[in-house]
Amino acid sequence: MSRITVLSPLGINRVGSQPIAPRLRSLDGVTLGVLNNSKPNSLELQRYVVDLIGRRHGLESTVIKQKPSAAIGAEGLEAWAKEVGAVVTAISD
Amino acid sequence: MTICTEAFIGLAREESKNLGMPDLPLAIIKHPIGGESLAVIQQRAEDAVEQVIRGLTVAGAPRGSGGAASSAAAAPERFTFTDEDEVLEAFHARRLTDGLPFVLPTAERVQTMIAGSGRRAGDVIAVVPPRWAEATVESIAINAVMAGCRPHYMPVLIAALQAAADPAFGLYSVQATTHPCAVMMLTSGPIVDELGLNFRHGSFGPGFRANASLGRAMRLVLMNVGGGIPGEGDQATHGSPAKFSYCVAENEAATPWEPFRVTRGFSRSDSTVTVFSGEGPHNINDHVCTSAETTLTVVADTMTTIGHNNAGSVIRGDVLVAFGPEHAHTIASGGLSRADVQKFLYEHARNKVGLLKLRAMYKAENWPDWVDQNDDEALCPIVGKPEDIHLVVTGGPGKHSAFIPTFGTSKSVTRKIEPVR
Repeated sequence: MSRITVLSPLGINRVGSQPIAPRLRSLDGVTLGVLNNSKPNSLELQRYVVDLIGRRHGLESTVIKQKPSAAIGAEGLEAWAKEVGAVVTAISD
Repeated sequence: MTICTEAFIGLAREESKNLGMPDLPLAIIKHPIGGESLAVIQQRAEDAVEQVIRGLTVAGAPRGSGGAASSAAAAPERFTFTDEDEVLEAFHARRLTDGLPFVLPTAERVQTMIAGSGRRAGDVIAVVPPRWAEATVESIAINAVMAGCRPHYMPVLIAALQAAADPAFGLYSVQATTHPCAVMMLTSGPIVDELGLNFRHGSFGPGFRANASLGRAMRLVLMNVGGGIPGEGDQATHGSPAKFSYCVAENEAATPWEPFRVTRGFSRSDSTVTVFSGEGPHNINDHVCTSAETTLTVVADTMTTIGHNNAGSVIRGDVLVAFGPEHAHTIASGGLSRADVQKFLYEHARNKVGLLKLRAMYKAENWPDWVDQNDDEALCPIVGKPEDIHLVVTGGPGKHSAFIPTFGTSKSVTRKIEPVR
């Protein structure tokens, strides 16, 4: 019986496994970063979340980094990562 | 730690996996965020906060060893089936098609397609988001076979993918957005006649092999290689028929100005492909106007709406106006150069600030500095400068033209189509 062999059209992702940042023991005394993408209501959402966190934990401070557009990658992340202990981002519409 | 609404879980998980971090924690809340009252947003925040705290502090030990990326050349996986019907059913079940039947990508057909490129099978043409997978000549050829391309179409497809992968085009966001933009390919130059690309009646489709298959091949690469799968890496709310195939050719003989590729800095002897993050074409129907100015007024009016992305993103994007030959003739008969037309449209295709306020000054940070945002009667253009209104002539007889708005946050990119070596 004849058979048909075809090739897969899928691409190969060569990104290796990446470790996620170690989790914090506590948010007390942490400088919390907020990366915002300028979508409507996104900053309001993130600010409310940070405010609620601040009521439960003694955050050192909050630093907001705002992208001019959701479609453009954030710049200066490596330097910014040294200023903050953790970052809250968001994805939605 | 990422807050994610329910509707975007597919994209978030897909991207985490593609970037090598499948266990990146998410805080899941109800959708949507945009258009909701502040009271609802407050509730969303309350729903998220415990998850955020837990994700930042107790998400488990770091996963993965940070191992090096795979560098070994990998041949495409091979599937063996009993017959053609089984192949079709299997590919549909695995979402490896655009929903339509396709040409089976046998090894023989793929080798012939690769030969048409004049390149080596393993050459990496682009890394395609959001899957961040390599589009090698071979993987492009496999999708080109499926689309029904002929081998000598490959240089166009390769140049188009190189253009789409240019950072200026912003392919990542074009692929993943809720916006219906497609990757439109506009060809210009001797290649149009060489490949039999249609530029007359029905230049936007359907009916012509080169246009239809090239546009389809682009979409299949974006889906199969790049992971732009509806509901996963592609979050388009509606999508668009333009996402099946969107390959257009310039009607150079009917162009009263310099050819499109010359406006992009190439010579007349070159062949080029330009990619736009285009919506489907918006028809401009005018059977009455007999002067350049009145015709262009109709064109400008069609461009003036607060409903497309360019209305808000202004300086970040560009747009395309595709004149039918008869409109182009009327306009050029008025003695207007291409630059004159761009200037007219730039000055007349403007939205009132008072109307844009209905969208809460959406993306006002991208408006030109000189627009008075406090004056409801002030007018805001849809692009940053006249040169960002690109003009091309395409199509057959009839008093129609088309306006193609874009995703708006990136610019079109042109690549020269390199002849086969």
